[in-house]
Amino acid sequence: MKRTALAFLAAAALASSAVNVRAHAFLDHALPAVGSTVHGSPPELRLWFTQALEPAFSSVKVVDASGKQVDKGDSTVDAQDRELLKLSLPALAPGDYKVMWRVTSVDTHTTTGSFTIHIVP
Amino acid sequence: MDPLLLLSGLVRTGHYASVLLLFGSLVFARTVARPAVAAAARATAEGGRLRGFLAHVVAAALGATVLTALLWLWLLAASMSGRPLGAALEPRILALVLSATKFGHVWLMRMALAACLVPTVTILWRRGGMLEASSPATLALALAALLLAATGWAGHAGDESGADGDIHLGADMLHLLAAGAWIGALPGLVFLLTRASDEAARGWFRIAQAATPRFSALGLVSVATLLASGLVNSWFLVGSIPALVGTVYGRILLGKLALLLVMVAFAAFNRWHLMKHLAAEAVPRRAKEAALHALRRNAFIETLIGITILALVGTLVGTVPAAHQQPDWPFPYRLAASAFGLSSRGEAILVLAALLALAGAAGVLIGLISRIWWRTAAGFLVLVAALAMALPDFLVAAYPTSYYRSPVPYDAGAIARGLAVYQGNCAACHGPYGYGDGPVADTRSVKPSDLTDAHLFHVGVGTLFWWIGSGSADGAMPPFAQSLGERERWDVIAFLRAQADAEAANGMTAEVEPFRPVQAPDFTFQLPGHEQQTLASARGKALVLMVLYTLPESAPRLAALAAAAPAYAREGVEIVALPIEGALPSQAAAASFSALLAEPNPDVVAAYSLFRRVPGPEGVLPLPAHMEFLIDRAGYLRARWIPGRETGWGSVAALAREIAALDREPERPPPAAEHAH
Repeated sequence: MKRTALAFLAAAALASSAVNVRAHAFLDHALPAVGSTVHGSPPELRLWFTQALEPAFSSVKVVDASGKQVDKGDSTVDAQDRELLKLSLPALAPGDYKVMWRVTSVDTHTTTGSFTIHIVP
Repeated sequence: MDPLLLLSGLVRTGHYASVLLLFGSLVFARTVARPAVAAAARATAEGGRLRGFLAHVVAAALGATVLTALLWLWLLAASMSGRPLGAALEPRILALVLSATKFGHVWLMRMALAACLVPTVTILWRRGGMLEASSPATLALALAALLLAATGWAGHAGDESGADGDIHLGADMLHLLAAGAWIGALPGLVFLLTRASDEAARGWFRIAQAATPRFSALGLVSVATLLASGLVNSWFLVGSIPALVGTVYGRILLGKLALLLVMVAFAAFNRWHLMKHLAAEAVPRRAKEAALHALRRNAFIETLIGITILALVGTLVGTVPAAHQQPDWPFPYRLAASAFGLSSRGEAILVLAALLALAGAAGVLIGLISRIWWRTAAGFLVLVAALAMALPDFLVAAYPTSYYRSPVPYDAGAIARGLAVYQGNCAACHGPYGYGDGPVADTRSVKPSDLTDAHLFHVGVGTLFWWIGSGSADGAMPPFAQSLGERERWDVIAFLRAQADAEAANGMTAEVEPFRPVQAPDFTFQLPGHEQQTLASARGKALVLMVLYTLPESAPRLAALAAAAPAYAREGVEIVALPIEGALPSQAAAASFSALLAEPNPDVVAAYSLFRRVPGPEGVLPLPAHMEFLIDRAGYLRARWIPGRETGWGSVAALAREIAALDREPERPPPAAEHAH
């Protein structure tokens, strides 16, 4: 018990020592989650990054299996939370969709990435 | 290397060099040249030429600053918009960068400062006020300082908010100013020393004589500031020793530090050796000239090193800071606080070493006070011996991946994949539950490790990753790098963590116990009519009552929960029910409780099967068909209940008691997101 507590304390100290370290915006998590299966078409896509984004040069789009863009084209950085990128979606048919993002962090670095979500009825 | 990246690095280096030179030359004029010219007798003509040179340098540096800033804007417009260089010059794109980005705002502000500098520098040049206590000189210095310091705003430090961000930004700005005051002032010094050693005119020599101690003082202040502020910056951007020695960013930073130390060594030699010659009355003229030559050479070398450092900085700015990379540990050992787990023999050695160290330190002190050198030396030897005795207990074997963090988040998917890998590759030796008692365990020369041992994770996931891929040094554990990809190895490690945690979870009852750090593996779920959620997204907001059910046995309990759900919701409890097997029941079969039923998720069932085990006969741990978990607001598993075994949460009031117990607890931070991006 005591050892577990010590290990926990040590882990907490280690983890807290490096939390402020940033500089490029990487995808932290997303809803619908990266690679997940969603029941019914989600109305919105939300992507959280590890750093504040430049709204003018950060965007995300969703394409279907044939590569056609299917989102509403309104990707925006949240006004309150500059690390959150949002995109509205129309009602989408079941299938695999690719989410492609390209963002610029406030310290000028541009990063890109993509993931897939599976929509089922 | 990408040519655009290389070009960006060059432009940034050029920009930094220009701004440093601009600020440094003005600092040199103010703090070194002006007092030196005033102090040197019969040197009016020379003073005028020095003033002219500095005015030229300042004007050229200002021009280069603006030019490189324009190039930088162009390159960034290309990289931000993702267009080729030619297309990025479009006014619409440039306007967007300038009006809508932080870089653009800082850029505009800095160019406004540069615009103010143009008339000021022109006046200094025309009227020659560079070396006088004139207001244009003061104004130019202030403007150049702002222009240089503001560079920090657009960099890595410019993003963080709060007190940490302010400290980092402040340190960054101090760092820039100190670098400017030293490296940027060197060209002025090189010019002065070159004149003084080349020309016969004695005026130059007298100015140099007066200038060198002043420059040396300036350098001393700058170096102290550079080191202190650099340390703060490294802390924010590198964060740890492994990142410093194991990543490209960290290694470039170390190279920069090494170069700075070389510069410091030159400066120290100048100050305490050459300048003495220059200042002393008794030293013959020839020796003074030789010292002056050496000073000039050193100042020139320092300038070259300074430019190299700037080139490294230009590269650093464009690279991913060390905290985002996996650090490759270059040494076969690492220091570890293994003293917590020392054997009694180890503890005895440690106590002995501590006593010896005390005796040694006392010896050194006595030697120093009594000024008897052999006592100091003997004390020092004892101290070294004590350290040598104690060190082996703090050194543990380390591998290149020892400080890797898992790229895989701790979630149900990773654990489920890891479970499958474990069963196919590990269970034969380590056993179905990780106790090291698999069917072929007895045939091994060394008994397979008990993977549920709490010590397992003390070595760090990076070391586990190495052992799985490359085997253990004694050969007891075979390497799996050939059969398991990196992703699979990390998945197995996520599974091992869950398996070790399960030891604690499987002792949980319906009553909330004192806190144990058993993190509930994250998973996504979707309730009818709701969007997809994750357990992590509920953190800080709701307690989660997670129900793993099997129909039809669970139907009455689910119906009771559904009836109580509004009451629980008022208490801040979200109920999520997942089927252990099969699909969702038909609407008709589950009408009364369908609102609680999340979509089936086999990964969640597989991962949480580790936490669902109950004691059984002959080493088999059965899995009950219905189990409920209480997950606190920080995301930790806190209690579990198996209907029929205990009275437990059968009534709403009983569960409410446990919820109230959790509500009384102090707020706990959620588990750190440990995985590397």
